[in-house]
Amino acid sequence: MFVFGFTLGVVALALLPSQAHAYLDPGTGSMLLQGIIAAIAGGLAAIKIFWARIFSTVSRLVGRGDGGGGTPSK
Amino acid sequence: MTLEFDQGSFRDPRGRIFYRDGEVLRHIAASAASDFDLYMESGLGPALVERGWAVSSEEVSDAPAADGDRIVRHSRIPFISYPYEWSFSLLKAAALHHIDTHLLALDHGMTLSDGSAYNIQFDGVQPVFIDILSFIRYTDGDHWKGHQQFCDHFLHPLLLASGTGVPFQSRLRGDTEGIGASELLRLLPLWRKYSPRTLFNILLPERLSSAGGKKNARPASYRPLPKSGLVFLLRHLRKWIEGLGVDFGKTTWSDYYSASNNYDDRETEQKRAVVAEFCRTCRPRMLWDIGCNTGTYSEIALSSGAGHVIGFDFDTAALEAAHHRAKEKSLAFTPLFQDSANPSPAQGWSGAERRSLGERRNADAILALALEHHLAIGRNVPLAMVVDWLIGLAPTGLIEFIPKGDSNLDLLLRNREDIFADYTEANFHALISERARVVRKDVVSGSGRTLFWYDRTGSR
Repeated sequence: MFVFGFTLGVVALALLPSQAHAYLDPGTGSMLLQGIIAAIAGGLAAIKIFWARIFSTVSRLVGRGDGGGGTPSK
Repeated sequence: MTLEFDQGSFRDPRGRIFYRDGEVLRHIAASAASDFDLYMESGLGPALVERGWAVSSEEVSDAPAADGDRIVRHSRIPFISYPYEWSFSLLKAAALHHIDTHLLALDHGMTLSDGSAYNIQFDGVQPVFIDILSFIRYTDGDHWKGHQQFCDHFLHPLLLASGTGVPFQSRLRGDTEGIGASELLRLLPLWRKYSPRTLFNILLPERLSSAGGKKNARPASYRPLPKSGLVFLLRHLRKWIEGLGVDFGKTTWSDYYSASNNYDDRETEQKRAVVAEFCRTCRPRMLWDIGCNTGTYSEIALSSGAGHVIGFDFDTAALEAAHHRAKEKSLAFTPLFQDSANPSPAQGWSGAERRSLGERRNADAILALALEHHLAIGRNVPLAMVVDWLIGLAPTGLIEFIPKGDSNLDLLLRNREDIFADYTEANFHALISERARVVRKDVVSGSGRTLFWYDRTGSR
């Protein structure tokens, strides 16, 4: 449990951008808003990957795909 | 050689503006040198200067600097103005400029550390970014720490004016930190407050932060914002601000010159001719047009030899028209909000961070057309004090005297007792003569309006 918590802490610290230039308090509301946008952007990226996978799986199943590689094998 | 630090340049400890014999220099601490190098070497600095979007920055070697520190020289702005002196259109232009500059910075691997309206100045009506230390290296994932400041300084005042028709200038003057989200939300009408954009951008973050943010003493951790998210946020704000307009209604002065019946065409022509001749003779590098209205005479001054014109008026609708004129015709004319009876004071930290209008005097000449009666009659300022103030603004100028009997002046007296026995042209003339030489005097209307050309340089 301790190891898990420690790892999580290290990961969270790594995710924090550098505070070197933060002479200005960004404000909690502003950070929350940007967090929401980040979550939406992350969600959109996940959906994009998800759909790409489904699409390539379906394409392969119906036999029209190129196996997801893009370059035809010689 | 004299060195003088700018009293308003201290919030970012990584550098400071100072003046040396008329030059604008910036000290850049060693800790900020790599950001400055990136600003120049990434091509961002040169690109901004080429577009006229930022002051130029040239490193100088003849100024004292500690090891690793830098000193750069910036190009000068004709006149330093503050957001509480800007019209709606100027604040909007500054906001869009801030975003466009930020987007260009991101293309060069940099971002803006803040969102302050005080980092923007105007050359004519073209916004110019002045604080190059705001540009810092961008790392994918960084939040924009100046977002809230941008909202307080730009978005919220624009929404206030746009959503309620109440001008923002006196609020920005009262609080130089801008208009906070909670303050704005109390002022907006319900249907504006709950519009999807306001709801998402202002109401939701404000409620969330006031719900739990204050009790938590630990620094907030946050999810990294991908570059696409930051670009989305900036473009979203840009589109929103771009679409904001304002309707201050039909004000007293916005149609002054088209509707006024104190001048017929021939008389207007005469007034124009005197203004043009005045400017051709003095060729002022900087002219202040006090009570500029929509900028008719500012434009004449510019086409007759004036280098720059700063116009002042307190009528927000007239300022919008003046801004339109300056922009359409690319004039070196900046129309600013100012009430002559209550000019901008020195304020901010130590009462010196933002300079008073008087401290920023840099006019070679003034125009004060159809102005003095508003001060002398409209605000009860004794005529001698009005003349003192006006003549103190610049060594030479053109001041119009409006006599009793003129329909515009009679309008000011229609509901009140005439307590202005000494308000006569003869007394006005005498007051000017005590302080300057009357170069010329022209009667320019049937009602007896008179232009006094004064000059207080040299011997009287």
